[in-house]
Amino acid sequence: MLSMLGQLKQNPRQMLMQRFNLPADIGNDPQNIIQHLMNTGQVSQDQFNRAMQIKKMFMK
Amino acid sequence: MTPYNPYPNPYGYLPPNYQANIPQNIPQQYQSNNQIQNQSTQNIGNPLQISCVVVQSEQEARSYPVAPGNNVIFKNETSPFMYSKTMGSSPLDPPVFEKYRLVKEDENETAEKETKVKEEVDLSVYVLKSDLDAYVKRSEVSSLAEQIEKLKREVASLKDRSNQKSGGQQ
Repeated sequence: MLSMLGQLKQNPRQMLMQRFNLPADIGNDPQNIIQHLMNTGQVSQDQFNRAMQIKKMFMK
Repeated sequence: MTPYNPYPNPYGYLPPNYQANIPQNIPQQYQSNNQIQNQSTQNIGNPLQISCVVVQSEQEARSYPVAPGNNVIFKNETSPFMYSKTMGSSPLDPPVFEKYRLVKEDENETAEKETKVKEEVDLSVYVLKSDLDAYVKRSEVSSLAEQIEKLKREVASLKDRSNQKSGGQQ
Protein backbone atom coordinates (compact mmCIF):
# COMPACT_ATOMS: atom_id res chain seq x y z
CA MET A 1 0.00 0.00 0.00
CA LEU A 2 2.78 2.42 0.95
CA SER A 3 4.82 1.50 -2.12
CA MET A 4 1.75 2.21 -4.24
CA LEU A 5 1.39 5.60 -2.58
CA GLY A 6 5.07 6.35 -3.21
CA GLN A 7 4.71 5.34 -6.83
CA LEU A 8 1.62 7.51 -7.15
CA LYS A 9 3.43 10.50 -5.67
CA GLN A 10 6.52 10.02 -7.83
CA ASN A 11 4.82 9.38 -11.13
CA PRO A 12 1.04 9.87 -10.89
CA ARG A 13 0.49 9.73 -14.65
CA GLN A 14 2.22 6.35 -15.04
CA MET A 15 0.27 4.90 -12.13
CA LEU A 16 -3.11 6.25 -13.20
CA MET A 17 -2.68 5.27 -16.85
CA GLN A 18 -3.18 1.65 -15.79
CA ARG A 19 -6.76 2.43 -14.86
CA PHE A 20 -7.75 5.61 -16.70
CA ASN A 21 -7.48 7.02 -20.17
CA LEU A 22 -4.94 9.81 -19.99
CA PRO A 23 -3.36 11.71 -22.87
CA ALA A 24 0.40 11.28 -23.22
CA ASP A 25 1.08 15.01 -22.95
CA ILE A 26 -0.84 15.64 -19.74
CA GLY A 27 2.29 15.80 -17.58
CA ASN A 28 2.64 14.84 -13.94
CA ASP A 29 0.75 17.66 -12.26
CA PRO A 30 -1.90 15.95 -10.07
CA GLN A 31 -4.22 18.97 -10.34
CA ASN A 32 -4.17 18.75 -14.14
CA ILE A 33 -4.72 15.01 -14.09
CA ILE A 34 -7.66 15.24 -11.71
CA GLN A 35 -9.28 18.05 -13.69
CA HIS A 36 -8.88 16.00 -16.89
CA LEU A 37 -10.43 12.93 -15.27
CA MET A 38 -13.38 15.03 -14.12
CA ASN A 39 -13.78 16.83 -17.44
CA THR A 40 -13.88 13.53 -19.29
CA GLY A 41 -16.32 11.99 -16.80
CA GLN A 42 -13.94 9.25 -15.71
CA VAL A 43 -14.14 10.47 -12.11
CA SER A 44 -17.23 12.10 -10.60
CA GLN A 45 -17.23 15.03 -8.18
CA ASP A 46 -18.60 12.77 -5.47
CA GLN A 47 -15.80 10.22 -5.93
CA PHE A 48 -13.19 12.98 -5.78
CA ASN A 49 -14.72 14.53 -2.64
CA ARG A 50 -14.74 11.16 -0.93
CA ALA A 51 -11.10 10.58 -1.91
CA MET A 52 -10.18 13.97 -0.45
CA GLN A 53 -12.01 13.13 2.78
CA ILE A 54 -10.02 9.90 3.06
CA LYS A 55 -6.81 11.80 2.36
CA LYS A 56 -7.63 14.29 5.14
CA MET A 57 -8.30 11.41 7.53
CA PHE A 58 -4.86 10.00 6.80
CA MET A 59 -3.19 13.39 7.12
CA LYS A 60 -4.59 13.94 10.66
CA MET B 1 -25.37 -14.88 -22.82
CA THR B 2 -23.05 -17.06 -20.73
CA PRO B 3 -19.35 -16.30 -21.23
CA TYR B 4 -17.04 -18.96 -22.65
CA ASN B 5 -15.47 -20.97 -19.81
CA PRO B 6 -12.45 -23.11 -20.71
CA TYR B 7 -12.63 -24.88 -17.32
CA PRO B 8 -16.15 -26.24 -16.80
CA ASN B 9 -17.24 -26.69 -13.21
CA PRO B 10 -17.18 -30.43 -12.40
CA TYR B 11 -19.66 -29.99 -9.53
CA GLY B 12 -22.38 -28.37 -11.58
CA TYR B 13 -23.15 -25.95 -8.77
CA LEU B 14 -21.84 -22.48 -7.90
CA PRO B 15 -22.39 -20.79 -4.53
CA PRO B 16 -24.52 -17.63 -4.75
CA ASN B 17 -21.63 -15.28 -3.89
CA TYR B 18 -19.21 -17.00 -6.29
CA GLN B 19 -17.21 -14.61 -8.49
CA ALA B 20 -15.48 -15.98 -11.53
CA ASN B 21 -11.81 -15.11 -12.03
CA ILE B 22 -11.98 -11.97 -14.11
CA PRO B 23 -8.68 -11.19 -15.81
CA GLN B 24 -7.06 -8.04 -14.47
CA ASN B 25 -5.86 -6.70 -17.80
CA ILE B 26 -9.20 -5.99 -19.42
CA PRO B 27 -8.84 -4.01 -22.64
CA GLN B 28 -9.33 -0.31 -22.08
CA GLN B 29 -12.39 -0.02 -24.30
CA TYR B 30 -14.30 -2.45 -22.06
CA GLN B 31 -13.05 -0.71 -18.94
CA SER B 32 -14.32 2.65 -20.11
CA ASN B 33 -17.66 1.09 -21.07
CA ASN B 34 -17.97 -0.36 -17.57
CA GLN B 35 -17.14 2.97 -16.03
CA ILE B 36 -19.75 4.78 -18.09
CA GLN B 37 -22.32 2.14 -17.11
CA ASN B 38 -21.43 2.49 -13.42
CA GLN B 39 -21.67 6.28 -13.58
CA SER B 40 -25.01 6.21 -15.33
CA THR B 41 -26.42 3.88 -12.69
CA GLN B 42 -24.97 6.08 -9.93
CA ASN B 43 -26.49 9.23 -11.35
CA ILE B 44 -30.01 7.82 -11.38
CA GLY B 45 -31.93 8.94 -8.29
CA ASN B 46 -29.58 11.75 -7.26
CA PRO B 47 -29.56 14.26 -10.12
CA LEU B 48 -28.00 17.12 -8.15
CA GLN B 49 -25.71 16.61 -5.19
CA ILE B 50 -24.41 19.68 -3.41
CA SER B 51 -21.37 18.78 -1.38
CA CYS B 52 -19.76 20.82 1.39
CA VAL B 53 -16.01 20.65 1.74
CA VAL B 54 -14.10 21.97 4.75
CA VAL B 55 -11.06 24.04 3.74
CA GLN B 56 -8.41 26.00 5.62
CA SER B 57 -8.03 28.94 3.26
CA GLU B 58 -9.68 30.72 0.37
CA GLN B 59 -6.83 29.67 -1.89
CA GLU B 60 -7.53 26.02 -1.15
CA ALA B 61 -11.17 26.51 -2.16
CA ARG B 62 -10.17 28.35 -5.34
CA SER B 63 -7.79 25.60 -6.43
CA TYR B 64 -10.16 22.73 -5.55
CA PRO B 65 -11.00 20.80 -8.75
CA VAL B 66 -14.67 20.84 -9.70
CA ALA B 67 -16.23 18.70 -12.41
CA PRO B 68 -18.10 20.43 -15.26
CA GLY B 69 -21.71 21.25 -14.38
CA ASN B 70 -21.07 20.79 -10.66
CA ASN B 71 -21.19 23.07 -7.66
CA VAL B 72 -19.13 22.67 -4.51
CA ILE B 73 -19.66 24.64 -1.32
CA PHE B 74 -16.70 25.24 1.01
CA LYS B 75 -16.65 26.10 4.67
CA ASN B 76 -13.55 27.84 5.96
CA GLU B 77 -12.65 26.33 9.33
CA THR B 78 -10.29 29.16 10.29
CA SER B 79 -12.44 32.21 9.46
CA PRO B 80 -16.19 32.88 9.16
CA PHE B 81 -16.44 32.55 5.40
CA MET B 82 -18.11 30.21 2.98
CA TYR B 83 -17.29 29.84 -0.69
CA SER B 84 -19.07 28.45 -3.70
CA LYS B 85 -17.35 27.25 -6.84
CA THR B 86 -19.46 26.40 -9.88
CA MET B 87 -18.20 25.02 -13.16
CA GLY B 88 -20.09 25.51 -16.39
CA SER B 89 -21.29 22.60 -18.45
CA SER B 90 -18.27 22.92 -20.71
CA PRO B 91 -14.71 22.46 -19.36
CA LEU B 92 -13.74 25.61 -21.28
CA ASP B 93 -16.13 27.80 -19.26
CA PRO B 94 -14.38 29.69 -16.46
CA PRO B 95 -15.40 28.69 -12.93
CA VAL B 96 -17.63 31.03 -10.94
CA PHE B 97 -16.24 31.63 -7.45
CA GLU B 98 -18.32 33.38 -4.77
CA LYS B 99 -17.40 34.34 -1.25
CA TYR B 100 -19.87 34.70 1.63
CA ARG B 101 -19.31 36.13 5.09
CA LEU B 102 -21.01 34.36 7.97
CA VAL B 103 -22.62 36.64 10.53
CA LYS B 104 -23.69 35.19 13.87
CA GLU B 105 -27.27 35.98 14.69
CA ASP B 106 -28.11 36.53 18.34
CA GLU B 107 -31.74 35.64 19.10
CA ASN B 108 -32.17 38.30 21.83
CA GLU B 109 -30.73 41.06 19.66
CA THR B 110 -32.93 40.19 16.71
CA ALA B 111 -36.01 40.16 18.98
CA GLU B 112 -35.09 43.63 20.32
CA LYS B 113 -34.50 44.94 16.82
CA GLU B 114 -37.86 43.63 15.67
CA THR B 115 -39.69 45.31 18.57
CA LYS B 116 -37.83 48.59 17.90
CA VAL B 117 -38.80 48.47 14.27
CA LYS B 118 -42.41 47.82 15.25
CA GLU B 119 -42.34 50.82 17.61
CA GLU B 120 -40.80 53.04 14.96
CA VAL B 121 -43.40 52.08 12.40
CA ASP B 122 -46.31 53.20 14.58
CA LEU B 123 -48.48 54.88 11.92
CA SER B 124 -50.57 56.89 14.36
CA VAL B 125 -47.57 59.18 14.90
CA TYR B 126 -47.12 59.90 11.19
CA VAL B 127 -48.97 62.31 8.91
CA LEU B 128 -49.80 61.76 5.27
CA LYS B 129 -47.91 63.94 2.79
CA SER B 130 -51.15 65.26 1.27
CA ASP B 131 -52.37 66.29 4.72
CA LEU B 132 -49.08 67.97 5.45
CA ASP B 133 -49.18 69.88 2.16
CA ALA B 134 -52.70 71.06 2.87
CA TYR B 135 -51.63 72.12 6.34
CA VAL B 136 -48.68 74.07 4.96
CA LYS B 137 -50.92 75.78 2.39
CA ARG B 138 -53.41 76.64 5.08
CA SER B 139 -50.72 78.06 7.33
CA GLU B 140 -49.28 80.08 4.43
CA VAL B 141 -52.71 81.48 3.59
CA SER B 142 -53.37 82.33 7.20
CA SER B 143 -50.01 84.07 7.57
CA LEU B 144 -50.70 86.07 4.39
CA ALA B 145 -54.10 87.02 5.73
CA GLU B 146 -52.47 88.16 8.97
CA GLN B 147 -49.97 90.26 7.02
CA ILE B 148 -52.79 91.82 4.98
CA GLU B 149 -54.68 92.65 8.19
CA LYS B 150 -51.55 94.28 9.61
CA LEU B 151 -51.06 96.34 6.49
CA LYS B 152 -54.72 97.37 6.54
CA ARG B 153 -54.35 98.48 10.13
CA GLU B 154 -51.19 100.44 9.30
CA VAL B 155 -52.88 102.12 6.33
CA ALA B 156 -55.86 103.03 8.49
CA SER B 157 -53.65 104.54 11.19
CA LEU B 158 -51.72 106.51 8.57
CA LYS B 159 -55.02 107.81 7.14
CA ASP B 160 -56.15 108.84 10.62
CA ARG B 161 -52.90 110.67 11.23
CA SER B 162 -53.07 112.50 7.91
CA ASN B 163 -56.71 113.44 8.61
CA GLN B 164 -55.73 114.74 12.04
CA LYS B 165 -52.89 116.78 10.52
CA SER B 166 -55.14 118.25 7.81
CA GLY B 167 -57.89 119.04 10.48
CA GLY B 168 -55.32 120.88 12.66
CA GLN B 169 -54.09 123.00 9.74
CA GLN B 170 -57.62 124.14 8.81
